[in-house]
Amino acid sequence: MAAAKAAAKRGPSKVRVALIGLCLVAAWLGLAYRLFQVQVVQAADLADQGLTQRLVTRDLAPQRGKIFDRNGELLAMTVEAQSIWANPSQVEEPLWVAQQVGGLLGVDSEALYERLTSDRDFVYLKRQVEPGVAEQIAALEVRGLYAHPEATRIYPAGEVASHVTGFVDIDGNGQEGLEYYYDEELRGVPGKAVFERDLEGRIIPQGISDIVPAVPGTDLNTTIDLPLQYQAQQACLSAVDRTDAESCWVVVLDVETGGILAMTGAPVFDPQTRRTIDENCDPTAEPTCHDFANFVVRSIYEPGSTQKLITVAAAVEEGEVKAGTVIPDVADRLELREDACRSADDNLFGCYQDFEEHETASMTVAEIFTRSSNVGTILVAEKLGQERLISYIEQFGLGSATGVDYSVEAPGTLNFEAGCETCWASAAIGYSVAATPLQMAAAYAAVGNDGVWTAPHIVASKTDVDGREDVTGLETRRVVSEETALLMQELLANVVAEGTGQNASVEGYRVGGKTGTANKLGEDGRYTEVTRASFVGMAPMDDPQVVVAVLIDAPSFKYRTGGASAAPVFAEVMEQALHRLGVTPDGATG
Amino acid sequence: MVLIGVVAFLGLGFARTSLDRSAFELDRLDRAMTEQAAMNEQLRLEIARLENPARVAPLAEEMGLVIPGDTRQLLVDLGGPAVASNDEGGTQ
Repeated sequence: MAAAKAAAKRGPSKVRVALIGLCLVAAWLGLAYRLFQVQVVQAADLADQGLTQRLVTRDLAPQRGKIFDRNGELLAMTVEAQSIWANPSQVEEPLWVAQQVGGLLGVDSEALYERLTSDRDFVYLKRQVEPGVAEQIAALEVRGLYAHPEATRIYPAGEVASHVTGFVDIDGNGQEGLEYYYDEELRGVPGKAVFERDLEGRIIPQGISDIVPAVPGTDLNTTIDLPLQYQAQQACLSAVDRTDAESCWVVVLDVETGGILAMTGAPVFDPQTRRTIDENCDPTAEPTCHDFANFVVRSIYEPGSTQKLITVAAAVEEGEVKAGTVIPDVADRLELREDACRSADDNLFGCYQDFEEHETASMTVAEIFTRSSNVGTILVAEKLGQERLISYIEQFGLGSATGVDYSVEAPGTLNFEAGCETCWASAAIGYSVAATPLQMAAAYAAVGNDGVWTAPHIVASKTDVDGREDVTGLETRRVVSEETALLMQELLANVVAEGTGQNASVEGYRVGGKTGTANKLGEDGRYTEVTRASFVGMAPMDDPQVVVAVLIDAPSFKYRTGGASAAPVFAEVMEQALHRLGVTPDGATG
Repeated sequence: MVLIGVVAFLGLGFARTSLDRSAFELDRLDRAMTEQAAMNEQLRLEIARLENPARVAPLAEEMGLVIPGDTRQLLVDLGGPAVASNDEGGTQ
């Protein structure tokens, strides 16, 4: 009995120990198996998964290049702005949120409500908001609203330089102006960063880290003088107001280098919002409210009498006339085609008349130019012939693009249809030819530069990671001899001193230039009384430094001539240009 | 040998920790530098806005300043310098 009891005592404890031992062994075997699985069999896969979770690949956006004026003033740069977005599924009171946030963002609350009630997980409420707005929205502590940084293009000079810089779209792609033309150079090269991060997003030291830095965009250093640009724009705005014109355009060129010192006009637009700045402009009613085209480069016009510089220069260069050559029987009306002058109002297309009636008389070439006689100029052009006239018009750069570094330059047109008997006469006085204001300015600059035409340009140099590089290799060509150029300079000076351009005089400087008054074509193909008034000139006449070209589009009848509307703008802009460049006055009393 | 091993192990651990700490510090400084650079750009932008002629000119006009429009000419005769005044009679 006792033995049985003893045996019973020993039996169960041994079994229990054996069972426990077995369990322990099984557990350890299980662990060992699992360890073997994790550390050996699945080691590579798990390591890869871990790395995938830790590894981050980020594109590094390059900083878009800046744009400067000739004095180092900033015209365009990129900064970081906040863009507000929402996850509609997380927004609890979309109506309240839309009302609260709409005012801060300047967005219609109804439109916001629509976005906040959509079934998407990500909707932008507004991109690239003004500084401080993101903080105000964050202060509301609205669930579902977030902000993330985005690069935004800023134009510190605003509308002053908008016709030069152009603008970018919301994603930073150049759309107009320098931003478009130099888009590839300005945008830079994106980089890439690959690194291991911890739970807080910090780079893990000693982990994988491979960074290819972004290459910042190239900075552009322009020839623009910002204060002069402002003055020119103000002069245009005043002119539009005074003459009730549709628009006004000005370009200022450095005669020798072809650098554009100012290029602007009115109406103006804000490159930030890409909207016209005109309180009288109703975007729903006026298509011009959305017109951002820079007329100086992008639009052509018939230059009228300003074209006579080329006609007379060509005739002088070819030896057909001199300044003192007498042209007999210069009437105030000329009929080149039978019955062309059917009525007193008929003009062009074979019937040409001077602006003012006068007796038929002999005039010297100098007088013809000073008085801007259409008939006289045609008689001079008759000695030249159509072929040579066309050749010189082309040599002076009309009818083809100048190659200026700006978006979509208009090439201009020469209308010499086969069988057109009178096109040469029209072209001689600035019809049948269409050019941009920039092409006209460059043509005049050629005369100011002693007969050498230089390609106009806006960017003088570029600065990238490798340093600064000047723009070189600009096209130049001789169009007339120095002797002819000097003679034409004197004739231009006479126009201002005694002729139709007296409103263009500048106190203290001797200036020269030519007025232009070209009738605009109506929808019926006939010329109307509405004009494009222009003045192109240069100063100082002893050694021209600057050319200014002014175009006033559709001024009121009282100001329809170049002398009445464009010449005063020229005077105002030229005076500022000469002061800005520090040109010594030559003592003329204008 | 064991002691050397332990010391070496501890030393290695300390060095590694220091290195990691320095790396985090570097990362922090890097971010601080980026923030300062961004602030610098903002200030540069602010300067450009303040210098915008469209902003300066109207303010100057309000203060009674005018844009130089007349040519200043200094006439010198044998008797000594004389200054020709501009039309607006301003003193400069």
